[in-house]
Amino acid sequence: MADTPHDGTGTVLRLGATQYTVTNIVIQYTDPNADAEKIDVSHLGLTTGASILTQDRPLQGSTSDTGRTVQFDYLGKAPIADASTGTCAITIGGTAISGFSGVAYTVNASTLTLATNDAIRGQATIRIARV
Amino acid sequence: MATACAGVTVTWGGAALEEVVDIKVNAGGSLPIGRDSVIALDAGTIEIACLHTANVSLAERGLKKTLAFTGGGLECSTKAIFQTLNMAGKVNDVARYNVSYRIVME
Repeated sequence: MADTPHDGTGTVLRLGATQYTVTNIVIQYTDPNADAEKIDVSHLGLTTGASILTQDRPLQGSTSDTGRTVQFDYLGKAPIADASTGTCAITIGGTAISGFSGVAYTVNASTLTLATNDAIRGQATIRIARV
Repeated sequence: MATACAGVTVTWGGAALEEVVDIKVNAGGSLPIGRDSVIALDAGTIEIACLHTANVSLAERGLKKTLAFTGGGLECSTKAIFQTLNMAGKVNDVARYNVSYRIVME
């Protein structure tokens, strides 16, 4: 059987000491200080070919806005409490994902779905501390 | 081929409006005040938005000076009366200035 090195088998997600039976994980990296967040101060006096001018916004983003979140779906009947904190770990085949393992997390949102003739499914979004 | 609107300078009475980001010229308006005259007191309006300074004082409201545009396909010059100055400030943004002039034909 051919190797499938790019699939997600062997992926483990732990929040603290609890390992979840996850069915889907979305990891998001966003730079809160990216140029897109700056003010475009280009003007008509610029000549053709000149670079777009940007200026930092006068206010800084919240320190709690790390720009890194993980959204995951899991099977299980235990809801994840909102605002709970701890240390998370995400590994693929035993290899930790840089920036997302051994770092502090805070739960932003959590849902638990109970439906007829289906497993109990949960979904959570956690904010990862930038290290 | 379309003309790139870049490298534009705007002056009113020789004083430059700085970091202009938007220009709207609506020329025309009222007819001449006499049959054999070209004088029209309201020959349209010009609105200009800039990020730095409009370089005008409210003490100049009602004064008529030459409003000149150069570059970016906007080469023109006209007599214009400074009419209004608006300033806008918003959280986490830069200050913005809007100035309007009334075109005078004479």
